[in-house]
Amino acid sequence: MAGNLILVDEFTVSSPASSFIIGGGSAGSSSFNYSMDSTHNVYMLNYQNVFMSSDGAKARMRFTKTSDNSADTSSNYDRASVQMYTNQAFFSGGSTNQTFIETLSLGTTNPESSLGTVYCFNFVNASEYSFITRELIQTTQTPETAGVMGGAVLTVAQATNGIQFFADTGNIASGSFALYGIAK
Amino acid sequence: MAGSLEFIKSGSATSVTSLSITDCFSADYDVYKIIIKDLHSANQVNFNMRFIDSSGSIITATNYDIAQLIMYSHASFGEKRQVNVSEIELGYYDCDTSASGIGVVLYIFNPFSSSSYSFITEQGSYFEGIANGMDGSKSIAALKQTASMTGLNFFLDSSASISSLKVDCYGVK
Repeated sequence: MAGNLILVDEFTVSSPASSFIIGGGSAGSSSFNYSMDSTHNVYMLNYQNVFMSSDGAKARMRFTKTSDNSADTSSNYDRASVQMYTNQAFFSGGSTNQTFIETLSLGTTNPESSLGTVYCFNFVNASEYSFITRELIQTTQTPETAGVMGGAVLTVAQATNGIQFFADTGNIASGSFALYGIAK
Repeated sequence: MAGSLEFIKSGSATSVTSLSITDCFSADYDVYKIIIKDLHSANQVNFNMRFIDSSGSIITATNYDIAQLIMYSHASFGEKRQVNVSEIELGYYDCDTSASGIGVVLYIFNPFSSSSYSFITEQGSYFEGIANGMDGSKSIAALKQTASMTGLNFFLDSSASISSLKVDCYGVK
């Protein structure tokens, strides 16, 4: 039965990498070279089985600019989230004017992996900021079951066309990523 | 490139103590969307869920973790944190009127995989009656077993009777 999610890009980390891009046009890490465009107003990214090459490392996010397909590294990312832990008090917090979108630490061996869903809004609109909401769940390197619920925004009025994941230290060892457009 | 939200199956029941949705997880999908609705009961108790493994057994081992943000319309928000428990408490069923019901959406990741845990994100809405209003919930949960799961089992605390319940299962392709 047909549905309203259109798979537009998918990428599996086949060898450890310090960074890679989902979507992002010609800079994309898959062979599809998909660039988020006005075909869809909202995009959804699902990913899973993300392991790091170093214990305690993080898989951070940035958005890629449609103008040149490169990641926007400017200090314009704002984030607010609830970090939910099954074994300790939740942590609610945010940050502004960062060069990336922060996340939780991960590990190197099963089950210390992360997965989640990210919705992307206004990415293709050059006159508005690019927003995401995210629901992430993982087993940390402790290990403990934890998650991140919240949103983030790149406060630059520009078109963006993808998401870069990068390791704060070492490499992202593995992971599977699928980007969907939500049919209008 | 193919891709869609694909309907797998629905389950419903009336006047039961539990509802099992079997054979909804397979190698065809890694991610599933579960919609839970139309829960009614004469009892005010927790509404729970467990996984069913590939041999048809309900997983009752103390291998479930959950963290839940509970957003009350009538009180300060609360947190629920549980580790190594024998079921996932999705929410509290508190009101039985013909119009109350519930609305819950789950995303379940890797349930069929025998090499990774089964992870869940949840978002729900429950009605506590005219005086108290509603509860919203946002959860993460996990079954900490590296075993293949093929279904879900829903039940109320104390084997309380479920007057009605409907569950829809979709695969994210």
